[in-house]
Amino acid sequence: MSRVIVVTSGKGGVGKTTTSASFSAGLALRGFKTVVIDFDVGLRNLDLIMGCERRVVYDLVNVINGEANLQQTLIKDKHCPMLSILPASQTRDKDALTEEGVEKVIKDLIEMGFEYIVCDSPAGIERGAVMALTFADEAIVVTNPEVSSVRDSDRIIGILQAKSKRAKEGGEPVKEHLLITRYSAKRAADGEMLSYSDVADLLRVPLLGVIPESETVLQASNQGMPVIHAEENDAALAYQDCISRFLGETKPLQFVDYEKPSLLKRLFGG
Amino acid sequence: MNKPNTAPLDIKFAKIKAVTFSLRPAPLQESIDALKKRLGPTPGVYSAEPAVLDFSAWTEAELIEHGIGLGTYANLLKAAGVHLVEVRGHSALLETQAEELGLRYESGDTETVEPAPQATQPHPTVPEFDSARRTMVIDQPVRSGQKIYAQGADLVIMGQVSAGAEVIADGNVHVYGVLRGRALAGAAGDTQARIVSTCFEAELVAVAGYYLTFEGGFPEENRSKPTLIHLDHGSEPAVLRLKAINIR
Repeated sequence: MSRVIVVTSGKGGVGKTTTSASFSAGLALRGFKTVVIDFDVGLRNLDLIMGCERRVVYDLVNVINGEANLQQTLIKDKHCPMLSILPASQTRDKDALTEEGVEKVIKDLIEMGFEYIVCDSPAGIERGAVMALTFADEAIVVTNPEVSSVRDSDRIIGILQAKSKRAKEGGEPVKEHLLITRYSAKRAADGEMLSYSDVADLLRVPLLGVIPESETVLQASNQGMPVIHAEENDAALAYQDCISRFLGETKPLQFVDYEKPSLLKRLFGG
Repeated sequence: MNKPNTAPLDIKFAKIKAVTFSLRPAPLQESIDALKKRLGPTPGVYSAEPAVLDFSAWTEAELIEHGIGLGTYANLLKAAGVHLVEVRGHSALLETQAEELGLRYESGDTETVEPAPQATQPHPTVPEFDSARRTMVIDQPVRSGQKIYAQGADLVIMGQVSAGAEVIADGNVHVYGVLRGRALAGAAGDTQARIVSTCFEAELVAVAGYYLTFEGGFPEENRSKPTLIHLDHGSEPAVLRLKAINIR
């Protein structure tokens, strides 16, 4: 059974592409045949994060227009053999995405035996974002612990419930997961940031995980490596936990509690 | 599989919902004043709504006696942002005036939604406006950017109303959850309409066009608490009041 997962947020810069990269890599590492599609036509980024930008020959729009087939277009990930990348076009815009075209691409990917199809949504609520979520079975709503991101996530969940194929056909609704990224337990404890429980409470969507803010995320992105591959890193571990929870395991939340350093620690350094 | 339809044009008949302003025989100025009052102190309650002016309660003689003044009504509605699309009645005179103004004229009574049987029982305090005929129930949270309008009905939301969402009813609005967005009751002018929320944190509440915002924060006894919002007619002009309610 194939599952189509959209990674969406409404707001830009909250970590959709980072999450798409790590989440698809995580699923592939667990042995699932996975493909990640960049829907951000015109602002292609996923290829950079995945480190395959020099191997892009054809793209999603070429496939939709019938100028290339999927076998030619899919790029094998260099870290995990079970993962393929379907890049976006940089020279076109979102109008190049048609519902029929996207539906055919997803259907063909399912026929090729991909178990998970991860759709990396562009920011916004316009065509690109709607196309990315239309065929979703599940949605990962990426949210930063701040009010504007929460509101935009709320908006995109509404759109998901109105415009997805499942919603339109009146089937079982799209399964929603909340993923809070760039979380700082200390700043939440100091009241500078919404706490993860506040965000979950505002959005009323089951919490899949909390990814701590980490410098490694940026470093990994710059090196073209999904952060989930980073060793002994909090963000990587948190993404691993999310994969486990997504696959039905129970894992306690990590990196969400802040303990004040003791006086000795403060005096002599941790 | 059906062949995809590629024709550049399809023609279908669409039914649109319109607000109907039914006027009873009265002198022109009285009717104008009544309509003015109904449109509310804040323009926007009916704005962008298509509307029908219904004179079917008038005889030709009454129309002549009181004067029709269709142009005056049309201007009044236009100023409130309402799109007058049709005039109804039983008068050739009315038809001529409507035609002059480029409005559609329909002879006969307005077709309105049949009230539910229990609602036809005379109510002890019959509001001038027959609202609350049915109840629309929403079982999902209402998300930011979503707008729910219960036309001619009460609205019940079983869940939260997020900031940036709008819940509107011609009757009452009940929110069994956190109300963080906007709630507008009596949108068609029913000043008896109320809003109830089990957890009040609204951006804006309005009844029959009277509204309140909360830039300075919520009153202590209402913040995140069960609250009733109603229009207090005891003072002039009427004031929208928040009232803490005990639901335990």
